[in-house]
Amino acid sequence: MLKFILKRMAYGSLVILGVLIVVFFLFQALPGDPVAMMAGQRTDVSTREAIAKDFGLDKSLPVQLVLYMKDLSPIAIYEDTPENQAKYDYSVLTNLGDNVLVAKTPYLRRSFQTNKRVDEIIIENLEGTLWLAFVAMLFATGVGILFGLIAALKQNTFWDHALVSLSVIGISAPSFVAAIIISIVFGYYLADYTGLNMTGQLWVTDPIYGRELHLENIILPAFTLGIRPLAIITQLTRSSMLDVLSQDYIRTAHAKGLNFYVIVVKHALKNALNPVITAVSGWLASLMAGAFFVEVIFNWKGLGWVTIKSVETKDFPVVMGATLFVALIFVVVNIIVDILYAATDPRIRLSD
Amino acid sequence: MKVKTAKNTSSAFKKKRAPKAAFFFLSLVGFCIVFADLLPLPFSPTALDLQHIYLPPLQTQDYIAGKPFHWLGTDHLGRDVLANIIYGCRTAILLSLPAMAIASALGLLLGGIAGFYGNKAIRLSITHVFTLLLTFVLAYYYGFYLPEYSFKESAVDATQPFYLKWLIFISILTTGLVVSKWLHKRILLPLNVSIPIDQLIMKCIEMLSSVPRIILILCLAAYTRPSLYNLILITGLTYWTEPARLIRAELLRVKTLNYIESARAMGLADFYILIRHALPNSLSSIIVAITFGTAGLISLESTLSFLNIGLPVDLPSWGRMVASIRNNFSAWWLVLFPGIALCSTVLSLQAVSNWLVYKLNPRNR
Repeated sequence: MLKFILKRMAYGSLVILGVLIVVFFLFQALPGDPVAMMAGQRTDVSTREAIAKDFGLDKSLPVQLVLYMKDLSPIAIYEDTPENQAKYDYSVLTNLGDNVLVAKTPYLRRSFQTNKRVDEIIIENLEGTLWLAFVAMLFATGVGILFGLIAALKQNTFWDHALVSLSVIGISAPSFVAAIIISIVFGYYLADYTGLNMTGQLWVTDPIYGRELHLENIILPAFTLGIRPLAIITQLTRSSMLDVLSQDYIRTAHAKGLNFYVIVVKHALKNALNPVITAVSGWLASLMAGAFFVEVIFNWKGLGWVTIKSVETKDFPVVMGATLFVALIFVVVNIIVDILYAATDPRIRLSD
Repeated sequence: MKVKTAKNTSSAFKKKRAPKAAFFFLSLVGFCIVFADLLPLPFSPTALDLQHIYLPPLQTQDYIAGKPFHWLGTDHLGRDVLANIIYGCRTAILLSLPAMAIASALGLLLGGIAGFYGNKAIRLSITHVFTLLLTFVLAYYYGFYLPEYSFKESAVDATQPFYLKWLIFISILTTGLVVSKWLHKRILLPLNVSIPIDQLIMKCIEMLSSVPRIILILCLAAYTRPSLYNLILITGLTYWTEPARLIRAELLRVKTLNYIESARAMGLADFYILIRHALPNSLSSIIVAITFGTAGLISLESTLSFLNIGLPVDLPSWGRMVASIRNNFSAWWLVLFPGIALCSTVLSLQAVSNWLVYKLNPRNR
């Protein structure tokens, strides 16, 4: 088991390294002069050269890649100067002559637009995305299992057909259309009844009352984000429930004269939920990435919102940082899911 | 209480209502694509009618006999919604079909190689690998790196070195190949290594799919000049992972079957078996992947034009129509009609692909 975990983690770190290299060269190949974006149009040559030197832009591409990787690694060796101290905000581990071995948070450079540290921007916006993904998943799992159960128990009736057709529409509707329809219907046409806003954020800074938590703003984006998982969970629960209900032990339970609800909840549902739960655990990561359009349309401050805004303003470091961060989440969640699978099913870890 | 036995075949397929409706709608879309120019539309999709902006559908208020009539209303620049929906079919298909063709060709090739050859089938001698690597570096140095400096001095015409560069590059590589063959025959290093081509391709796929695809496309599309060709290339080069994965899985199954083994026993070449026997037998899953992918690409096209990224602004598109509602929330017709067109196209494509899954499964015949 330990060997499997180590192997999986080694592969995962290789993938991360590959993503890093791909992202680095991708953003190098894109047109646009970073120095001009940092400094603005009207600057003298010495300022431009200073900025280029600060970012290592005066060096060749492979050297730049190594510098970027050095910036990202949590343990690195630097010259112990006040400038480096201010730039990386590190804590010294040991002294190595002129240089020091330091531990630091990964330095993802600074935003061209706001000059804030990119890792700070990501952490700041991560909260909104996490909340959104969590609430959406909660809603989707709860309602989806309920719908799937109803569809399975009332198989080939009106309710079954209605729920299955709705879930097919839910899977195929493009997310921006769903988002805009929901925001306009519930936030504009029915706003008097629902009392919801079309757009809004988790924390609203009010000039009088200060920073306030607005939990009601999460309802519409989370509902929109949850539609697709909801539809998939409904179908998964339905088919796996139908599978379980046709098995022998359910017939035995019926023959024993057990209560119908005891059979459904205790015997059937417990076994039918296994594939659903494994699917849900794998989706949380993709939900975080899938929240892009929902966040943009509902103006919800999150990772997707900040990424699309940075794409529009050509703020390279923020886009790079956010891309790397999302890729990291993907890989880590994949590793965890694989390890969980291997822990429950010995065939997987033996075959690999 | 009676417990019904499970039947996972949906009743809708037996009645064949859903695929029929889907085929009908898709043929309608096809008709719009082919004959859009011949239809008697009162407006062209790009014509501005600034006196009638945000006109609701079927508005007869300022209808004067003989004057053209906006059947489905207009957007914020007075562009006709009906014309845009009809010409929007064309844009959606123009992007998604070629992009899917590129993606599935790439996916077929790479997934086929990964699935069929696996980790151990391709073996290269160490001599070949070393000499090729060495000559590649040499060829790059003499072909591309050095001329850049030497030709700059002597101000030669810029077009001439281009051919020369490639000529030098390729000739050095061929020399390397010949030398490596000769060295191999002289048994300098008769060791063989197997190239883990399956692992390599799978790691590539995992890498590409761990970067959210939409960010990749958005970045590339946002920074290149907006044009349909660029976007087709970008999406084609990012969408190949799913067909590749499917085909690999299918080939892993097919490869163990008896007829492949007997083809091997007959002494057929691996590549011939792959093209002639293995791929045609995994075609059903490929077709399904292509229809499903096309549906995804159609919604991607409208998403990009909704965000106004990557596509030229004067191209009629469903997503662009939807986007114009953000300036006037009471213009419901701008979401409803393009939304219906988009959702029904995606739905019908998915229904068709479900129908294909059902049809191509020999157990359902």
